[in-house]
Amino acid sequence: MIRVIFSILSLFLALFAQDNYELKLYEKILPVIFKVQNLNIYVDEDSKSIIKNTKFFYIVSDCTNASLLIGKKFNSLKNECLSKPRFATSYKSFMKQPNVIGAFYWRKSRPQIRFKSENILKYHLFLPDSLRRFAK
Amino acid sequence: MTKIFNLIAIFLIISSLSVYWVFAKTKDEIIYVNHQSQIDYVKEISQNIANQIKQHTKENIYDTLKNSVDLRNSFEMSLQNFITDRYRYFYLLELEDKTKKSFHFLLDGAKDADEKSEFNESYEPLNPSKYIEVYQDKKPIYFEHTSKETESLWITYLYPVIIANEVQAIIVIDFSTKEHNIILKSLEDFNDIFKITLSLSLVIFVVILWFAHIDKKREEEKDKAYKKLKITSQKLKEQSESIKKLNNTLELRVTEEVQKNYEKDQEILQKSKQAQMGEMIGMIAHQWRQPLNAISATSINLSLLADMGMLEDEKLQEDSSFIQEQCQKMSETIDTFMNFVKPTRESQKFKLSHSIDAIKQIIGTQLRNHNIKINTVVSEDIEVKGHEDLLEQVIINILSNARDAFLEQEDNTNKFINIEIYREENIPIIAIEDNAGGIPQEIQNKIFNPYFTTKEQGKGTGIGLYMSLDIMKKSFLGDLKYSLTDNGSKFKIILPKNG
Repeated sequence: MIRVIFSILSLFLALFAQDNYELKLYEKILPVIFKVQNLNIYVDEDSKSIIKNTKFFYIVSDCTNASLLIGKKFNSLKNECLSKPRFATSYKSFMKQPNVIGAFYWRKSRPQIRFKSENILKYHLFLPDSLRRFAK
Repeated sequence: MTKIFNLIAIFLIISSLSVYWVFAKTKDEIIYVNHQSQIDYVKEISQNIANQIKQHTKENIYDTLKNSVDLRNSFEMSLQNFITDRYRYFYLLELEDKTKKSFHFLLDGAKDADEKSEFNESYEPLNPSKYIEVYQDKKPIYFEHTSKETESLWITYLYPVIIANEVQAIIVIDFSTKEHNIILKSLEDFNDIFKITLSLSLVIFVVILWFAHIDKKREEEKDKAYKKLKITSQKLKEQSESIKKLNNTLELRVTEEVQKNYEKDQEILQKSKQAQMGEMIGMIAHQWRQPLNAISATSINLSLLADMGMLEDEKLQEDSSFIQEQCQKMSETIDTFMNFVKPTRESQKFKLSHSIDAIKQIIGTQLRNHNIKINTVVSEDIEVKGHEDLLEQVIINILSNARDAFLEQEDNTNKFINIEIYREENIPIIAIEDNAGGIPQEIQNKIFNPYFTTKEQGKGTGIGLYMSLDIMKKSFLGDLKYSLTDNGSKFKIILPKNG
């Protein structure tokens, strides 16, 4: 019985942790990179379920008000937003999307984080030493 | 019964322990075999894949695969065939940067396009040091980890693809331990159940032992009680036999005791008589002294007158008459004493005043010589039936004691003894009261005991009052009571109402 309760509790905690894993990672690295505490971000449909209920970011519905675009599909972006920095949520978008500064995605159930040094420089952002090893 | 309990308890605990021991051993074997079979399986697959890659590789795997998309597709199709729910990921990695511990994909067996990695796609595995270790040791290893994405337990198997004695790539197989965990969990549950059963068995074992202990104790107490009962029974038997023997000899002993009592009574009676005789002789001596002196003086006078030739017939006649008269008095005294001493064989009626008069004749002179005045008050001349001599003995005894008490009082100039005859609630009473000081309170309850006396050695026998009480109770069915007055003693001779 104790084992069952412990298992359920562990699973619950794990699920809770999983739900917040990506958000926590964003909350940890993006303010450092952008050097601001509260960042206006625009999130695509796929990532809305992940980036929510955050105190660090203002999630804007209009990409023109955003400092950063997060997602993997930005097909219907306004022209004013096309030049804004993007943070990809898949390897493909990281490789193919323009203005991508970095990416976070899952590969083989392992979290993968990537940065593009040239775009970091382009947008005058800051990449701390601890994250430089993930930069290309 | 206790032995059966103990045997059951021991059997229960041994069987429980044996079953648990067998289960624990079997459990470990099942876990090991199940786990090892999975490892062996992925090892075989890895070997096959590695062999295939080696067959198609000229010098370098990366170059070979980079240059042939068809070969990559073929290998990936091959890897796809192994993918099941249990064996989830099959891919081939090559070390990209040893310092960064980063790798890149060479092959990926993923079916889903979103999951499928591209050739040369950078990849940062969990536990990268393990991957580096495979490169260094050139040996397959595996490790368990929890997938953050699926939150389930997985095993990652790393198999080195060695070409020209150099690890060029690692085959990575991720497989679930779900089934193994189910088995493990079931076995753990069984283990828990066994532990509970074993604990219960232990509790039962202890309870049975406890009951056995109580039972044993009860048996011991029972045995003890039985032994005690046996001993008691034996004692009772012995006592019963003793009582039986006692009963058999009781009659004889009673006869002996009666005889002893009779002899004792006779002895007391004898002593009493001797004492009485002594008293009588003393009293006769007192009675005779005066006439004897008178006779002696008269005879001396007669003898002197005769020697002098002056004895006249008239004087001789007068003195002879006097001597005869004195002798007659002495003779009467003897008769009086003889009447007193002679036992009355039959009970007869007599007046109490008569008894008092007779006693005064016997002891009166003696008392008068000691300046003891006797006052007699007869309120009613009561007639009673009984042995008069015995009653007189009682009265003389009381008067003698009073006389002896007065002898110790030289200063007493008003010695008297009051004798009163009266009825109290129709009961005839003779009360004898003196002013001789009385008997001390502390010895009053002993005065009727045999051989108890306060008199000097040789003067008292200690049986007078004992005999007096005995006479009053046995011969008259009456009583003798003592009470202390202001200056002396008071004895009440209580006679029967119907006399």
